[in-house]
Amino acid sequence: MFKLLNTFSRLNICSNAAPARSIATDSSLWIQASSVLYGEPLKKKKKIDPAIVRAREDRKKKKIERAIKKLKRQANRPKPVDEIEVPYELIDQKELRERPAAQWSEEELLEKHILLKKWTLYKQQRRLEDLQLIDRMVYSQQRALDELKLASPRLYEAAIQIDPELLPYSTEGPVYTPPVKDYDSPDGEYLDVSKKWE
Amino acid sequence: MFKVSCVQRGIPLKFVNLVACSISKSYSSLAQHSSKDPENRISEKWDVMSAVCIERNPIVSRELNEMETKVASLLERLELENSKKCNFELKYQKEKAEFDKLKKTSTQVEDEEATIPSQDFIDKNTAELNNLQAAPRTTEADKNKDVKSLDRCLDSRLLLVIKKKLGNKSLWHLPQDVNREDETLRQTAERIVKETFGDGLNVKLRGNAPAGYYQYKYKQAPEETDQPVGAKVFFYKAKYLNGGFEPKNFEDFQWATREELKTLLIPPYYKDVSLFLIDEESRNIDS
Repeated sequence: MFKLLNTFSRLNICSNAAPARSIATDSSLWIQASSVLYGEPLKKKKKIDPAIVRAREDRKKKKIERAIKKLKRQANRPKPVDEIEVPYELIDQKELRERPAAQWSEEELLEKHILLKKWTLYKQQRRLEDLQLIDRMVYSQQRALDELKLASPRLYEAAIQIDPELLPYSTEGPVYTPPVKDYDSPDGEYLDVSKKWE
Repeated sequence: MFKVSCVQRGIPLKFVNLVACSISKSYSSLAQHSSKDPENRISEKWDVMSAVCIERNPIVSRELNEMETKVASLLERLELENSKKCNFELKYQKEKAEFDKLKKTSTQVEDEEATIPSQDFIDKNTAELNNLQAAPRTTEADKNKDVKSLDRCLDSRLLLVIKKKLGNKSLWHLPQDVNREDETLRQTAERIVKETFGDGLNVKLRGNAPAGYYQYKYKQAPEETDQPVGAKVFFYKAKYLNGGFEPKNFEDFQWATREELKTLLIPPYYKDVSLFLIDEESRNIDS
């Protein structure tokens, strides 16, 4: 601090000899705040032995070739399907995982058999109804088209065109309970656990 | 015609005969329409019309009937018997055994502190399930018998019918209009939706071809020969997507179930309309 004051005071003395000089940062004194640029001569490129360069390139090439070979070898190998292969753990624990044997009384067995027989009849009836329904609708449409052909060939021509917007078709539901109105679903974390096969 | 179409679709012949018999029985009267002599047709002038059949699909599944409930519970039992114990069951078993052993050996363990971790997990999830409030399957509209609401009869298909003057009588029918010179029947159907219900209602037409046909004669006999004597109505099916509408261009409307259609529509009209409608699955069938 004192040192600085000293310099300033000496400046003051000097200023007596050359008056009207003070410290300022404006342009008149050419004190500049911009960065200073330095230059440096360019580096000379190192000379490498051409044999080493060639060897390097060869190594690169070989690496790629090896990768291609590996891919080619695996091209026809299907990726494993985890769902099909039974884990060894399960095979080992087979007895541990066994449930107690089912107990069916004579009556229950009889009831079961009768019910399943009735069920097949029931399903056959439903299937027949479905077929009749489809045929009825096809009949209705064919009848409409036949009538349209007689009424106006132009409209018939337009009606039998394929509608490209029908496919792909997607639909939702029905579900057991309707959606809750204004349901605020809690945010969960999304983890992609699917394996990558290369 | 039926036999050929079925065989092409690969349905066993045994069924086809049954199907064909039943159809030719019940719809033979309708088939007579198309066997009118052609000369008469040409001399008469008919209006060609489009009509739109807007349908809302069921939102909730129907209740199982008695037979289906029985079979469902049987299958559930069989499935459990044929299954093996899962990881969680094994874990639970192990922890339970350990817990019991601990209880036996050391009497100092306080009962309140020691619990089975898997049991806690089960309790927690059961509590969460019990807390869940699912939306009811029957709605306010069902209770109030509000036939204009889309919120009614969630488990069945609803058909949009309107009441409007046709000739001098006002009748329940599907919205219809005369086909103009420069448009196809499908374009007419799209125009009907726009004009009758406005831009708010979004529907999807199912294809370019009409699904059904109905014809009727106008009450007033035409004074001149070039006046149309009746209308040929071609029905287009449409699926309700979303949106609503203001009841403006007609007297009344209703989202009608299949049962209600029977009473709303006049019998010949109902007969032709029901031909191309999917039946509701029968709920109560004697086994």
